[in-house]
Amino acid sequence: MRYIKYKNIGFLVLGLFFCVLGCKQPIGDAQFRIAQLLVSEKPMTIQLFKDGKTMYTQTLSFGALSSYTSVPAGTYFLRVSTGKKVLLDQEIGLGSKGKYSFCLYGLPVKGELTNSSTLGNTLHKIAEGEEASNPNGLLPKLKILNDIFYGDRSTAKIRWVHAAPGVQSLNGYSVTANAKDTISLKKLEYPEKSSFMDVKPGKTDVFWNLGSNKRKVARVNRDLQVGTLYTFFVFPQRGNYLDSLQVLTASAENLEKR
Amino acid sequence: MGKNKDQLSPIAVWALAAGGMVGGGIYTVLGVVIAVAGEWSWLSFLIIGILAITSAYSYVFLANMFNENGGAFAFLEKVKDKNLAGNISWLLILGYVFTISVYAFAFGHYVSFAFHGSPMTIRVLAALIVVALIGLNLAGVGKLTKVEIAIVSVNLLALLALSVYGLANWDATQLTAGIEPKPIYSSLVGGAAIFMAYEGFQLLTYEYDKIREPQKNFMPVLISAVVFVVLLYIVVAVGATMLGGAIAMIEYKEIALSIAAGNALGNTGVVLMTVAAGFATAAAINSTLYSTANLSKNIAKNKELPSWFSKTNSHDVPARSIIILGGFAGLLAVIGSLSSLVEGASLIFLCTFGIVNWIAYRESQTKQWIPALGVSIAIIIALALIFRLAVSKPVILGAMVIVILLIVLGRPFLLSKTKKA
Repeated sequence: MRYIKYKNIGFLVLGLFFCVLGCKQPIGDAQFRIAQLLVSEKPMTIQLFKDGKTMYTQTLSFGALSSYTSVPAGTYFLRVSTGKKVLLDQEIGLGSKGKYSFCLYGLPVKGELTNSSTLGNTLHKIAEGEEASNPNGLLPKLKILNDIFYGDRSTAKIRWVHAAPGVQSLNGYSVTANAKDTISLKKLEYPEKSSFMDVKPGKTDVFWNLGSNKRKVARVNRDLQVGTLYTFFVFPQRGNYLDSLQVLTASAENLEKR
Repeated sequence: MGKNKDQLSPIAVWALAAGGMVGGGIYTVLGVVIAVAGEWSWLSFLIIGILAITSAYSYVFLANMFNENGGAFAFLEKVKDKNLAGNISWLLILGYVFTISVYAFAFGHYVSFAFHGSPMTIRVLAALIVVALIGLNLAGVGKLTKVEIAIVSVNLLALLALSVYGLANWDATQLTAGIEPKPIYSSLVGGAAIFMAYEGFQLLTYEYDKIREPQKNFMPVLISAVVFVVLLYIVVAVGATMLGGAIAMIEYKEIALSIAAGNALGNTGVVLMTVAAGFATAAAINSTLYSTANLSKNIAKNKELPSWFSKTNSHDVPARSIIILGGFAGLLAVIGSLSSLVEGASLIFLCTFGIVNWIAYRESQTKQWIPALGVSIAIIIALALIFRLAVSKPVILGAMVIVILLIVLGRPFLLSKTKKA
């Protein structure tokens, strides 16, 4: 009797296994865009390779944001180069129906090797994985941001990225047009990113202070729409990299399935 | 021990053990482990799962041998290591406080997410659930075995359904969606960070005298419950990631399973997962608070805590222990961060389980390889966790070292003072 029971459980497990195999989903596309914030006078070429084939090539100058591009989901090899010099070589995963922003940031220096990494950066990567946010001695790095968000549909979402190498901590704030709501957008060190924050839609002033200083060092004004994610990249001005900051705004419509 | 209807049947023991682990663990640790181990998260659960299995074996072996309630503290007392017993008992209480705060933290996040609550709502909910369960325990209705079993059953079914649905939608690209693929060794560090997800089974050793025919039933029941949970965690790790994608599981680590359920079934999925998580975490807070307060009472009776902790109210409940421990846990849930609390608890339980495996190794004549394996894995995992803390949260590691030193050095002093008083 007990043998029959075990046999039934065995069949159940086998049935479940084949059901799982039989339900395998077709793999869809992933979308991505690139924010090129690597501080350089020269344009950067970004390539994606899969199984030895070049799937994407784009050349972007400092401060540019590409539009979204679709590629089949899967694991890619991403290469960032300027001229013949390869700065970054990195494997990345792009999931089906995923939507991502790649943020390239840091200060390329002469004679640096591909994927130059400080000991601290390497240790943080092992210890914290994706949550590591080490400046890597200001050397070039890639950050992948998820552009799909969840939560309250009646608000706009904002987040920001400190992409200004060598600049101390920044405090972000947003103020709605009627100046009734001032929201602190978190204090971040280079190269951290904030989490998503709900804000009221409408005309909004977003600005950043340097550390405890009240002087505004970067500012942007946007008419925030419901169900849209706004990512603010705070990065240096061309030619005046350490003293003056600018803001790149990247918006994304809500794609959540809920 | 004769049959008694108040005694815990093997099914009840199995459900309480599985529920004690799953209750709060998986809801909070999934995003933490995916961030470190990526596509190898399932392996993290397997590696630390083996330690959980050997530890379950050692706990039952020692409980059967000494035929007594009390877990690690009682075992150390029995092997005449009174000093270590006292130190471990204090550390364990701290570990349980961290655990309760993690469960409260998870409760606040899951419930708040369903109602689009603000960060303040999360903190308020976390504090409220702890206050409510402190009240329930003070009123003498802390141990609701049948209610707990019902919650555990629904909870396990919800998690199984989510994982099977995720596996049925197999899409391997989701395992590394939006992240850099990780090397296989990352599974060690990932597992180290979340070991607390397996700690719940050992609360049953505090109920040893209530288990029906424990010498016969406890070993197979507890081992099968732990093996089941290891397998469940593995399928949840893969299944939920299939639905949510790795980057979303990390980004929304506090509510990872709601994101997965929402992607599967829309709002219905979120509501179902919120109900499952809400009840599961509340039940886990309740059982941990109840057991910890009773443990404190017993330790105080053994003069390893000030006698103040053993005072009971009119319901024979150690009221002071419940208020102090619950209050501290509630405070940590309000001011703490998820990773720090999870890692603090994990380090304490790794040490405790390693010691229990070591005692079992010393005391056993046969199958010594089982606790020996447990000791070896505990040492490796603990070193991996210390490495992670040293690199990512040196302040937290420093605070943990100071707390341990305070316990080791300050405990005898404090106890001598209270004895004199």
